[in-house]
Amino acid sequence: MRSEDDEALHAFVVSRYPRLRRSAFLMCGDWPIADEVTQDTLARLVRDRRRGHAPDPDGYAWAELMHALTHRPGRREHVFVAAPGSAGGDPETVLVLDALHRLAPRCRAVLVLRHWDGRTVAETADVLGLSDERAAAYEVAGLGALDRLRGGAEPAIT
Amino acid sequence: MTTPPEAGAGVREWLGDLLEPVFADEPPLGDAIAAVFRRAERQRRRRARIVLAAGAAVVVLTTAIGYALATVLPPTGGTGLGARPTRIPATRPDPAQAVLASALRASGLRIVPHEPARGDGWRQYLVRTASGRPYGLVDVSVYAAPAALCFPVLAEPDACARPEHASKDVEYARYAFDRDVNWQVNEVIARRVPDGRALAVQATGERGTGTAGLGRPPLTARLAARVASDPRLLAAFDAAERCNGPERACPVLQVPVPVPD
Repeated sequence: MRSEDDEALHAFVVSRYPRLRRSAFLMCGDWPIADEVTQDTLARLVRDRRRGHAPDPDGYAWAELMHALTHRPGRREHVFVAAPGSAGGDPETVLVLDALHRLAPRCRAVLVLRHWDGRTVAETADVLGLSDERAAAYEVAGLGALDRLRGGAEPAIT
Repeated sequence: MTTPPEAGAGVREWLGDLLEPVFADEPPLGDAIAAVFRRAERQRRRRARIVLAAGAAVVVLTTAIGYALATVLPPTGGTGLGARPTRIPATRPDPAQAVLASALRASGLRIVPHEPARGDGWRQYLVRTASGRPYGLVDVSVYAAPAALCFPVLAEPDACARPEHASKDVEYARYAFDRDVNWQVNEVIARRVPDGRALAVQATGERGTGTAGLGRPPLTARLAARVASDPRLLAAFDAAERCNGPERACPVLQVPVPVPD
């Protein structure tokens, strides 16, 4: 029988898993990797919470997830290819995803946290361990590069 | 092709609308939730095994060193010059180092005491990458703090910053210095309200590298805040330890902790 704390942890994992996995997918463009990183992040959160650490589980989860995805060893740029006939195959969406994955990892992380997860600049900076000014600068640079990449006017930044 | 709005809330809807169809292909969760808890249990068991193995290794090593010293060193009499009892260095692990090592583990960095490694109210550590390259220093110091500690504001010497709260018992302020790539520092001052003690964690990147990346402090401001708020770090110091006096060999902080001497 699970304790009350375990019940709360279980509810937290159930409620956050889909959102975390989607953020991870936007970061890496690959569902199996997104699943792997999300499970690893939440498993570490569960372990640490049971030991009485990680007082802010939301902050912990997103920070660990983004850290794992922006510091992946042997990271390769991923070009998104949607399944034929799927909704994800919409040319505009494919173009945006492809451009997103050509951005530097931190730029991409800022855009995902700000414009997909709906976090403020301060919250985004906190998750990524950046100053507010630097997070805002990444956002401006990322949006600009994203727009240029979508238009194909400039080569990809790395 | 739709044109992105200039900035602000409209951008969020624009990007969000474009990305939403991507998830139409999202695979089902399957037993992902159960897998998370299975993995957490595996991690817990693996950690317990590591702790046990490390404990056993310490016991074996201590025994081996003791045996070697007892058999190799000549016996010393009480009358000879320099006759002193042989002292075997204590192998007691440093709890503050353990907290910092745990925080740095994810980034693959290692931390070791840096001579002079410790004093009354302070500890100093050197951080290295997995390949052995120096990656900066971490200083930890504790203070007896008054009830209303004024967290400094860099731009206004007479003002007090509004602290953030890690929990109801711990308030902190963080400071980042990254303008000079050759001397980048992240510092956090945290105060534990119930016992009126403050703790400063200062992470200094490797000096003089000439690049922002190589000179980055070993702890991000966020990680430094997490470490400074960790009750185990404060507990690593004896209750009487403090760095309040100016004559003490305590770390020189970028932002001094404003406590009475």
